[in-house]
Amino acid sequence: MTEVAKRETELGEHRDCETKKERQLHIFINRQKFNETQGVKPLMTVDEIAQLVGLTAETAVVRRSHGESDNYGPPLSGTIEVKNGDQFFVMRKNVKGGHGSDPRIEAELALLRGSGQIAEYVPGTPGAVIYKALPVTGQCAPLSATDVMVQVSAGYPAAMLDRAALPADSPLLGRVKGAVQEAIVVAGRPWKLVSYHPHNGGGAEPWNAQVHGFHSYIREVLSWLGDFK
Amino acid sequence: MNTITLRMTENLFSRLKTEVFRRYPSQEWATFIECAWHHDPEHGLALNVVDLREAREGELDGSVDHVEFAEPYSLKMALELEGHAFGGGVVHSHPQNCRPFPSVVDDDMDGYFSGLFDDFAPGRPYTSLIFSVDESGKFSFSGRVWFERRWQKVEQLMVVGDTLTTFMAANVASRPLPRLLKARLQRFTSALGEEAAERLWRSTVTIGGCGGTGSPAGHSLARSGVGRIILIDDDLLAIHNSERVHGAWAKYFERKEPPPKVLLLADLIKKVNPEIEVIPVFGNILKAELRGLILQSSVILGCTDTEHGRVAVSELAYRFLLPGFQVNVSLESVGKTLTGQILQFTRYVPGGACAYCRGQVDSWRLAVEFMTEDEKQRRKLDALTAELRGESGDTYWRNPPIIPTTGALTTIGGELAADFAVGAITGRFKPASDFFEMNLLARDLGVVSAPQRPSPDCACATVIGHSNQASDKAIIAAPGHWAPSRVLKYVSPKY
Repeated sequence: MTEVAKRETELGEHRDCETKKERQLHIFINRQKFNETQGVKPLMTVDEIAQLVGLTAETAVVRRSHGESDNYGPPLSGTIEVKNGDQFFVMRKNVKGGHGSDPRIEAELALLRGSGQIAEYVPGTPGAVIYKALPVTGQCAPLSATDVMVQVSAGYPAAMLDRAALPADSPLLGRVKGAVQEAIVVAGRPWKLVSYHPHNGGGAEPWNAQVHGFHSYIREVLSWLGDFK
Repeated sequence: MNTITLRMTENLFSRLKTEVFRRYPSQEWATFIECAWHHDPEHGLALNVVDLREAREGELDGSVDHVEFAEPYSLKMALELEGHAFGGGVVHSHPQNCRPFPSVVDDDMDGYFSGLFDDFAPGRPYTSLIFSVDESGKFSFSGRVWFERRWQKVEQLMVVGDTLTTFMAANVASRPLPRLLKARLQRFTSALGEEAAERLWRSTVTIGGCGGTGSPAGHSLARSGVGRIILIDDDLLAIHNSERVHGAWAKYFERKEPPPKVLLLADLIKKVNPEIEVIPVFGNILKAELRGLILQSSVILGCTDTEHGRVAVSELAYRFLLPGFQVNVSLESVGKTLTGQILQFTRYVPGGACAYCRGQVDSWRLAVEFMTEDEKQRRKLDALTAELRGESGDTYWRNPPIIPTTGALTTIGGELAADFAVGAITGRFKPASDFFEMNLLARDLGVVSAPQRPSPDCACATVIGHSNQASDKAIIAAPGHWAPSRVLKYVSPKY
């Protein structure tokens, strides 16, 4: 092949490649372009769209833009058909800010996050920590995972962590160890506290503020979830 | 990280506090804000909060103690940013007696919003402020800005209006008052308080014009304990200045090359107090490269007798929220008798009338100040030619009036400007009127005070605080043929 012909072939291949890229299905999320290489496809779930910007269907609201800046649709769900150039807005459902807990609790939650466990601090009087999506092990578990809420005890960390709460409609209530106690609203959700005292004769070692905290209490909670009737 | 001065008007500050403290003392609240800014690589960012975008019902979760933005509020703000040129931001409160320092939760919030707003309005600063009040009512704040891919700390918050109030950020160490200065300011602090002295020491003042009015102003501010003074003038000392310019020692006139006036005043200030930081600039306050430096100031003193100087000080007040004090002096006479020693004082603040609304600008003098020498010569020739034709030459050229003054009068004017600057910075006093004129030779000093409101369509009413984002409404700029400004190195002279 002559040099000219070789060059023409290369150019042709390059043009084909560029045309192929242009022909790739692409969408815009929050004005940023995403294409097939990044996971865009003709049918996508809302979760798949949210994941393109690091969120999930659980944590985000996904809407379709209709062109004008104030013209957008209601929150989407399920699977949707995606066309070339579609514009979406994907925002976190909630963005929290504020004074938060004291640095110690924040550090403990950071340890949990470091090992992949999501735990959220909820400021208040008292504050609380919500362990997200803890697995429920054991045969015939009524559900595979659940959130568990633990309140910050008055005088923490000198005062031990104690009790745990499940969502008010949880099928685990009455089946996990401990009597069901008062109802409480935390982070806008209703919970029921359960009389579970791992560090006070409940099987765990005596409370030691130098060693124990929310990062260790999760072990007691996981064990508790796995031991249901 | 670089530190930043953030400004806002008194009205906006009041609105902001009402909003974020609405659930005080134990519950937090928040609002989105919009900010204008000026940036240059050497002096960093100067930010102005220009508006709030308060939450509507349901956009913040009212059932929780902390701050929780719902998705519709975030989306609304992101789309709003596309409709203008300002940067976005958040202000929220921390509960009473809680330090206004960002928590891990705040770090996550700011990380999210800075990235989100950048998707919709790339390249603009994202500003995050935290307000809190202790049980005695003392306000404190902290702030940070995400810009050019890094976090930058807000060092001070200036609230500008009829008064000037400066808050230092809670997480920034302030410059302590030197022991010797405390002793020297005993009479001052017994009158105005030690906090006033501390405010002056932490402040920066720019003096535009270092001649007959500016040099006594600088001298006075140095004695009052201002910690940092920026001097701007593009003139060299001449023999006829010696009657008016403070610091024009006889030895200077023995030199072959006359020194710049800014260095004279720098030397005078340093001899009063060597610990004062002085920045002498050979240049003009209109030069764009000086804007970032000037915006580090609490106030600017307009001490030139030029029209462009006055207009510049006026525009800095409304567009950049930098309050200015302009002083002008002149003599009037009838025959050989002096009938007037006139002092004219104007305070320019955001929301107040600009120099044009006050009718203070002589547009012909302003035009002449901007002309090249060639253009002046050409116009004079055209005027002469016209007169030879039997026409009036005024259309082509009129000699701008020379304003006669004396050193005593310019000194009084400079001291007056310095005094009102001290009042503004300390928050202890202010002039009764934004403008007054008096004649020292008139009965009862012939004081004239003329309140003036801005014209509703004037830029001084419509682009308050809009900084570089209202560059299309700029009313004055340095002509291209003016030499660039230079910061001079001060070295104590050997006489």
